Amino acid sequence: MNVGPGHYAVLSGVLFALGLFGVIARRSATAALASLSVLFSAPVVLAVGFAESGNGSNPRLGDVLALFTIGGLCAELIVGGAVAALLWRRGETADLEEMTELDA
Amino acid sequence: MFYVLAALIVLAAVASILAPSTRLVLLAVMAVDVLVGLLLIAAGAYMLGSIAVVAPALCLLAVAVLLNRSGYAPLLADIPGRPAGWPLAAAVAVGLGVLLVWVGETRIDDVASATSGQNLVTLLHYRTPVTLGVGAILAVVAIGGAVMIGRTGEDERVLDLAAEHRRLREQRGRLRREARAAARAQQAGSRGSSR
Repeated sequence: MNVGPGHYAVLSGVLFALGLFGVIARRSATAALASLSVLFSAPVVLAVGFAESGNGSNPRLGDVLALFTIGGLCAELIVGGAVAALLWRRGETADLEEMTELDA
Repeated sequence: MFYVLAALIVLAAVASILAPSTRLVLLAVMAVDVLVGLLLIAAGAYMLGSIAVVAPALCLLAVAVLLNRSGYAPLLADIPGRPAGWPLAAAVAVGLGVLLVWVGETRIDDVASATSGQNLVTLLHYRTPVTLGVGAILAVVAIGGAVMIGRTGEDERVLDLAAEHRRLREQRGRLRREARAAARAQQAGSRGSSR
Protein backbone atom coordinates (compact mmCIF):
# COMPACT_ATOMS: atom_id res chain seq x y z
CA MET A 1 0.00 0.00 0.00
CA ASN A 2 1.48 3.30 -1.11
CA VAL A 3 1.95 6.07 1.40
CA GLY A 4 0.65 9.34 -0.02
CA PRO A 5 0.00 12.88 1.19
CA GLY A 6 -3.25 11.74 2.76
CA HIS A 7 -1.45 9.42 5.19
CA TYR A 8 0.82 12.24 6.31
CA ALA A 9 -2.22 14.52 6.60
CA VAL A 10 -3.93 12.05 8.93
CA LEU A 11 -0.81 11.66 11.09
CA SER A 12 -0.42 15.44 11.13
CA GLY A 13 -4.05 15.94 12.16
CA VAL A 14 -3.70 13.44 15.01
CA LEU A 15 -0.48 15.07 16.23
CA PHE A 16 -2.07 18.52 15.99
CA ALA A 17 -5.13 17.43 18.01
CA LEU A 18 -3.01 15.74 20.70
CA GLY A 19 -0.72 18.77 20.96
CA LEU A 20 -3.65 21.18 21.13
CA PHE A 21 -5.29 19.11 23.86
CA GLY A 22 -2.05 19.15 25.84
CA VAL A 23 -1.68 22.92 25.48
CA ILE A 24 -5.23 23.57 26.66
CA ALA A 25 -5.56 20.89 29.32
CA ARG A 26 -2.15 20.88 30.97
CA ARG A 27 -1.81 23.01 34.09
CA SER A 28 1.98 22.91 34.28
CA ALA A 29 3.72 25.61 32.20
CA THR A 30 6.51 23.23 31.25
CA ALA A 31 4.11 20.47 30.21
CA ALA A 32 2.07 22.92 28.13
CA LEU A 33 5.29 24.04 26.46
CA ALA A 34 6.16 20.42 25.72
CA SER A 35 2.71 19.85 24.23
CA LEU A 36 3.25 22.92 22.06
CA SER A 37 6.29 21.23 20.59
CA VAL A 38 4.14 18.18 19.72
CA LEU A 39 1.71 20.59 18.06
CA PHE A 40 4.59 22.12 16.07
CA SER A 41 5.60 18.66 14.81
CA ALA A 42 2.32 18.41 12.88
CA PRO A 43 3.18 20.90 10.09
CA VAL A 44 6.69 19.44 9.84
CA VAL A 45 5.29 15.97 9.12
CA LEU A 46 2.75 17.43 6.69
CA ALA A 47 5.27 19.50 4.72
CA VAL A 48 7.79 16.68 4.39
CA GLY A 49 5.05 14.21 3.48
CA PHE A 50 3.95 16.49 0.67
CA ALA A 51 7.52 16.97 -0.48
CA GLU A 52 8.14 13.23 -0.57
CA SER A 53 5.12 12.46 -2.70
CA GLY A 54 5.45 15.45 -5.01
CA ASN A 55 7.20 15.53 -8.35
CA GLY A 56 9.58 17.80 -6.70
CA SER A 57 11.73 20.86 -7.14
CA ASN A 58 15.25 20.91 -5.81
CA PRO A 59 15.47 21.76 -2.91
CA ARG A 60 12.05 20.38 -2.09
CA LEU A 61 9.64 23.13 -1.07
CA GLY A 62 8.12 21.06 1.72
CA ASP A 63 11.55 20.52 3.25
CA VAL A 64 12.18 24.26 3.25
CA LEU A 65 8.86 24.95 4.96
CA ALA A 66 9.56 22.18 7.47
CA LEU A 67 12.97 23.69 8.20
CA PHE A 68 11.33 27.05 8.96
CA THR A 69 8.86 25.27 11.23
CA ILE A 70 11.65 23.46 13.10
CA GLY A 71 13.35 26.85 13.55
CA GLY A 72 10.10 28.20 14.94
CA LEU A 73 9.80 25.18 17.23
CA CYS A 74 13.28 25.69 18.67
CA ALA A 75 12.59 29.41 19.19
CA GLU A 76 9.27 28.59 20.84
CA LEU A 77 10.93 26.16 23.25
CA ILE A 78 13.63 28.62 24.27
CA VAL A 79 11.40 31.72 24.49
CA GLY A 80 8.59 29.73 26.10
CA GLY A 81 10.99 28.41 28.74
CA ALA A 82 12.13 31.97 29.43
CA VAL A 83 8.54 33.22 29.69
CA ALA A 84 7.66 30.34 32.04
CA ALA A 85 10.66 31.18 34.22
CA LEU A 86 9.70 34.87 34.25
CA LEU A 87 6.11 34.10 35.19
CA TRP A 88 7.27 31.76 37.94
CA ARG A 89 9.58 34.47 39.30
CA ARG A 90 6.68 36.92 39.42
CA GLY A 91 3.98 34.59 40.67
CA GLU A 92 5.89 31.82 42.45
CA THR A 93 3.72 29.25 40.70
CA ALA A 94 4.03 26.85 37.79
CA ASP A 95 0.28 26.33 37.59
CA LEU A 96 -1.10 28.07 34.51
CA GLU A 97 -4.50 28.43 36.17
CA GLU A 98 -2.91 30.59 38.84
CA MET A 99 -0.93 32.74 36.40
CA THR A 100 -3.50 35.43 35.80
CA GLU A 101 -1.59 38.70 35.71
CA LEU A 102 0.76 39.79 32.98
CA ASP A 103 0.92 43.52 33.76
CA ALA A 104 3.83 45.14 35.55
CA MET B 1 7.99 1.62 7.95
CA PHE B 2 5.64 4.62 7.83
CA TYR B 3 2.94 2.81 9.79
CA VAL B 4 5.32 1.61 12.51
CA LEU B 5 6.81 5.08 12.97
CA ALA B 6 3.38 6.74 12.82
CA ALA B 7 2.04 4.40 15.52
CA LEU B 8 5.07 5.04 17.73
CA ILE B 9 4.77 8.82 17.23
CA VAL B 10 1.09 8.79 18.19
CA LEU B 11 1.83 6.60 21.24
CA ALA B 12 4.61 8.94 22.37
CA ALA B 13 2.35 11.97 21.83
CA VAL B 14 -0.43 10.33 23.88
CA ALA B 15 2.13 9.57 26.60
CA SER B 16 3.22 13.21 26.56
CA ILE B 17 -0.29 14.40 27.44
CA LEU B 18 -1.09 11.62 29.91
CA ALA B 19 2.20 11.31 31.80
CA PRO B 20 1.76 12.18 35.49
CA SER B 21 5.22 13.67 35.91
CA THR B 22 6.67 16.69 34.12
CA ARG B 23 9.95 14.85 33.62
CA LEU B 24 8.12 11.98 31.91
CA VAL B 25 6.30 14.53 29.74
CA LEU B 26 9.63 15.98 28.62
CA LEU B 27 10.99 12.48 27.89
CA ALA B 28 7.87 11.61 25.86
CA VAL B 29 8.16 14.83 23.86
CA MET B 30 11.80 14.12 23.15
CA ALA B 31 10.71 10.68 21.91
CA VAL B 32 8.16 12.37 19.63
CA ASP B 33 10.89 14.65 18.25
CA VAL B 34 13.30 11.78 17.60
CA LEU B 35 10.61 9.62 15.99
CA VAL B 36 9.45 12.50 13.77
CA GLY B 37 13.08 12.98 12.73
CA LEU B 38 13.32 9.26 11.86
CA LEU B 39 10.08 9.57 9.86
CA LEU B 40 11.56 12.49 7.93
CA ILE B 41 14.70 10.45 7.22
CA ALA B 42 12.53 7.57 6.04
CA ALA B 43 10.69 10.03 3.78
CA GLY B 44 13.97 10.98 2.08
CA ALA B 45 14.70 14.25 3.89
CA TYR B 46 17.99 13.09 5.40
CA MET B 47 19.47 16.46 6.41
CA LEU B 48 16.14 17.78 7.69
CA GLY B 49 15.52 14.55 9.61
CA SER B 50 18.90 14.86 11.31
CA ILE B 51 18.12 18.45 12.25
CA ALA B 52 14.67 17.41 13.50
CA VAL B 53 16.22 14.68 15.66
CA VAL B 54 18.89 16.91 17.19
CA ALA B 55 17.68 20.52 17.37
CA PRO B 56 14.34 20.33 19.25
CA ALA B 57 15.62 17.63 21.65
CA LEU B 58 18.67 19.76 22.42
CA CYS B 59 16.54 22.87 22.98
CA LEU B 60 14.17 20.95 25.27
CA LEU B 61 17.11 19.50 27.20
CA ALA B 62 18.75 22.92 27.48
CA VAL B 63 15.54 24.50 28.79
CA ALA B 64 15.06 21.69 31.35
CA VAL B 65 18.68 21.87 32.55
CA LEU B 66 18.67 25.67 32.78
CA LEU B 67 15.36 25.72 34.65
CA ASN B 68 16.66 23.06 37.03
CA ARG B 69 19.96 24.79 37.75
CA SER B 70 18.80 28.41 37.87
CA GLY B 71 16.42 28.06 40.79
CA TYR B 72 13.32 27.34 38.74
CA ALA B 73 13.05 23.67 39.67
CA PRO B 74 9.40 24.07 40.79
CA LEU B 75 8.55 24.61 37.13
CA LEU B 76 9.63 21.00 36.57
CA ALA B 77 7.72 19.71 39.57
CA ASP B 78 4.50 17.83 39.16
CA ILE B 79 1.15 19.54 39.34
CA PRO B 80 -1.51 16.96 40.14
CA GLY B 81 -4.97 17.01 38.75
CA ARG B 82 -6.51 18.32 35.59
CA PRO B 83 -8.25 21.65 35.08
CA ALA B 84 -12.01 21.65 35.32
CA GLY B 85 -12.37 22.42 31.64
CA TRP B 86 -10.49 19.41 30.27
CA PRO B 87 -13.55 17.78 28.59
CA LEU B 88 -14.02 21.02 26.63
CA ALA B 89 -10.33 20.98 25.74
CA ALA B 90 -10.64 17.39 24.52
CA ALA B 91 -13.71 18.26 22.44
CA VAL B 92 -11.98 21.27 20.85
CA ALA B 93 -8.82 19.29 20.10
CA VAL B 94 -10.67 16.30 18.62
CA GLY B 95 -12.95 18.60 16.62
CA LEU B 96 -10.10 20.56 15.10
CA GLY B 97 -8.12 17.38 14.38
CA VAL B 98 -11.10 15.76 12.66
CA LEU B 99 -11.78 18.98 10.74
CA LEU B 100 -8.15 19.07 9.58
CA VAL B 101 -8.22 15.45 8.42
CA TRP B 102 -11.66 15.81 6.87
CA VAL B 103 -10.76 18.93 4.88
CA GLY B 104 -7.52 17.34 3.75
CA GLU B 105 -9.22 14.15 2.69
CA THR B 106 -12.21 15.76 0.95
CA ARG B 107 -12.33 14.58 -2.61
CA ILE B 108 -13.08 17.14 -5.25
CA ASP B 109 -15.90 15.05 -6.73
CA ASP B 110 -17.62 15.10 -3.33
CA VAL B 111 -18.21 18.83 -3.58
CA ALA B 112 -18.33 19.40 -7.35
CA SER B 113 -18.95 17.35 -10.43
CA ALA B 114 -15.30 17.27 -11.42
CA THR B 115 -14.02 14.03 -12.80
CA SER B 116 -10.51 14.15 -11.39
CA GLY B 117 -11.33 12.54 -8.02
CA GLN B 118 -8.20 13.93 -6.38
CA ASN B 119 -8.42 14.75 -2.72
CA LEU B 120 -7.98 18.35 -1.61
CA VAL B 121 -4.57 17.79 -0.07
CA THR B 122 -3.17 16.36 -3.30
CA LEU B 123 -4.71 19.12 -5.39
CA LEU B 124 -3.40 21.93 -3.16
CA HIS B 125 -0.05 20.21 -2.98
CA TYR B 126 0.43 20.11 -6.75
CA ARG B 127 -1.31 23.36 -7.70
CA THR B 128 -0.64 25.83 -4.90
CA PRO B 129 1.96 24.41 -2.54
CA VAL B 130 3.15 27.81 -1.29
CA THR B 131 -0.39 28.93 -0.46
CA LEU B 132 -1.05 25.65 1.29
CA GLY B 133 2.11 25.96 3.36
CA VAL B 134 1.51 29.58 4.30
CA GLY B 135 -2.13 28.81 5.08
CA ALA B 136 -1.18 25.91 7.33
CA ILE B 137 1.35 28.02 9.22
CA LEU B 138 -1.12 30.89 9.60
CA ALA B 139 -3.78 28.50 10.87
CA VAL B 140 -1.42 27.06 13.45
CA VAL B 141 -0.37 30.55 14.60
CA ALA B 142 -3.96 31.79 14.71
CA ILE B 143 -5.22 28.83 16.73
CA GLY B 144 -2.28 29.07 19.12
CA GLY B 145 -2.91 32.80 19.61
CA ALA B 146 -6.61 32.25 20.09
CA VAL B 147 -5.98 29.60 22.73
CA MET B 148 -3.61 31.87 24.62
CA ILE B 149 -5.94 34.87 24.40
CA GLY B 150 -9.04 32.83 25.19
CA ARG B 151 -7.82 31.57 28.54
CA THR B 152 -10.18 32.92 31.22
CA GLY B 153 -8.05 34.02 34.13
CA GLU B 154 -8.94 34.12 37.80
CA ASP B 155 -8.77 37.94 37.73
CA GLU B 156 -11.49 38.05 35.08
CA ARG B 157 -13.69 35.77 37.18
CA VAL B 158 -13.12 38.03 40.20
CA LEU B 159 -13.96 41.13 38.15
CA ASP B 160 -17.11 39.50 36.76
CA LEU B 161 -18.19 38.55 40.28
CA ALA B 162 -17.57 42.10 41.55
CA ALA B 163 -19.58 43.57 38.66
CA GLU B 164 -22.47 41.19 39.43
CA HIS B 165 -22.40 42.18 43.13
CA ARG B 166 -22.39 45.89 42.16
CA ARG B 167 -25.35 45.35 39.83
CA LEU B 168 -27.33 43.58 42.57
CA ARG B 169 -26.43 46.31 45.10
CA GLU B 170 -27.59 49.04 42.73
CA GLN B 171 -30.76 47.13 41.99
CA ARG B 172 -31.54 46.79 45.72
CA GLY B 173 -30.82 50.53 46.25
CA ARG B 174 -33.14 51.45 43.39
CA LEU B 175 -35.91 49.25 44.75
CA ARG B 176 -35.50 50.82 48.23
CA ARG B 177 -35.65 54.36 46.76
CA GLU B 178 -38.73 53.47 44.76
CA ALA B 179 -40.37 51.93 47.85
CA ARG B 180 -39.58 55.06 49.92
CA ALA B 181 -40.93 57.33 47.20
CA ALA B 182 -44.09 55.24 46.95
CA ALA B 183 -44.52 55.30 50.74
CA ARG B 184 -44.07 59.11 50.82
CA ALA B 185 -46.58 59.51 48.04
CA GLN B 186 -49.03 57.28 49.84
CA GLN B 187 -48.48 59.20 53.10
CA ALA B 188 -49.03 62.52 51.37
CA GLY B 189 -52.17 61.15 49.74
CA SER B 190 -53.59 59.90 53.05
CA ARG B 191 -52.90 63.31 54.69
CA GLY B 192 -54.61 65.15 51.89
CA SER B 193 -57.69 62.94 52.11
CA SER B 194 -57.91 63.33 55.95
CA ARG B 195 -57.94 67.14 55.60
